[in-house]
Amino acid sequence: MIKKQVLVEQILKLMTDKINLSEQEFGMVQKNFEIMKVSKKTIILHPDTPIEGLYLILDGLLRFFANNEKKTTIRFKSNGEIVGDLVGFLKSKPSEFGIETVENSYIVLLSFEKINWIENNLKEGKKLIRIFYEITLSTILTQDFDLINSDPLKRFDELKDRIPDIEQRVSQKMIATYLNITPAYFSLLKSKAIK
Amino acid sequence: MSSQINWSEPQQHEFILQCSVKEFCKEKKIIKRISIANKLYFVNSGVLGIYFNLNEIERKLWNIALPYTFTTAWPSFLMNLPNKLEIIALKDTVCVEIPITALQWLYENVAEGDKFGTLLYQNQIIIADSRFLIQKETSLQKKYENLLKIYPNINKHVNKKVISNLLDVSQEHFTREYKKWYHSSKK
Repeated sequence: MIKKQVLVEQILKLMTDKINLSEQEFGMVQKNFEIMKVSKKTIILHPDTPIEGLYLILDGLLRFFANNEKKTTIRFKSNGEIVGDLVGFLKSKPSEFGIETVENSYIVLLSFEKINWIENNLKEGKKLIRIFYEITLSTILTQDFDLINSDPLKRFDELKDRIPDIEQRVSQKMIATYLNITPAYFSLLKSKAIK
Repeated sequence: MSSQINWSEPQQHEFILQCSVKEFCKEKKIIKRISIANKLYFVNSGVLGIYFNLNEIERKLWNIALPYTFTTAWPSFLMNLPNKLEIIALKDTVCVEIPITALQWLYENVAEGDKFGTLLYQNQIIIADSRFLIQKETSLQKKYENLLKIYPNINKHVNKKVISNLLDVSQEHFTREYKKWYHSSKK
């Protein structure tokens, strides 16, 4: 179990990597962010439900899945990353996707109110939110280009670049569905790559 | 920009001094692969095509920028990384070229400068996500309808060849299907 103070320090570090925070602002952030512990295999956002906000992952692994029978994984998100139906969030419409924890995770909900709080109460809050959207845009586009690349092994390599220990944390079956291939074909490709 | 943020005339003037108007002939490469993109473009007239390079030889039309929109090779521009995209004028195009330093000046010197950045990136995120959903869609007609949601007037600006490239189908296939949809809606 991770101590709350360690997780709070992670939030502060993610912020101070981008902006300056005064001591008073440190205290305000600590009071205003609620850390949630979520067990693995918990769906924290169901498709077609209202979106409360986005989720900052302090520790753990989540998957973002499509609203289909197989609940196909579209993206994996790990420590320090933000996951959510961003377009639904921006347009205030129900989510077209779902989010599930893959392992026990510690997350923070970033609601509209929380984002407004950051913008209005921290001296460099607007700058932080602008940088957040810069990073998000870049991440979305990089992952979009990843999907254009039809070679599953190259896409797997790019996933491992982002989350190096993904194979230890997620089943081969789940990785195969993310790559849009069967688990048997995924095993075959990996064994050919080793040779 | 003035419709989105409050800023004074001297600030607007100072910002404009850092920008320049550029005219690009059709097929001119504006942003090249491997380079680092450090300029943002606002399209006044014409159309820009944003191509993703699959390998050394093949490239795919990923998106377009119509008049009164901003574009650049975003991942390279935002993260200072070597570029995987090329931006090419699909028609004779006039743009305002905004260096990244001008945008940084805006963030540091205009009270609502960060707000402009946030709105710009939110808009691009919506477009990028909509493009992603088009890719995931299996029905060509639904892909086309989703494309029209992003660009309602696309047919006024580009030909069927460009649209078929965006939908990742041959021009002949798209033209054939388009006639079926158009004729079935006329009945």
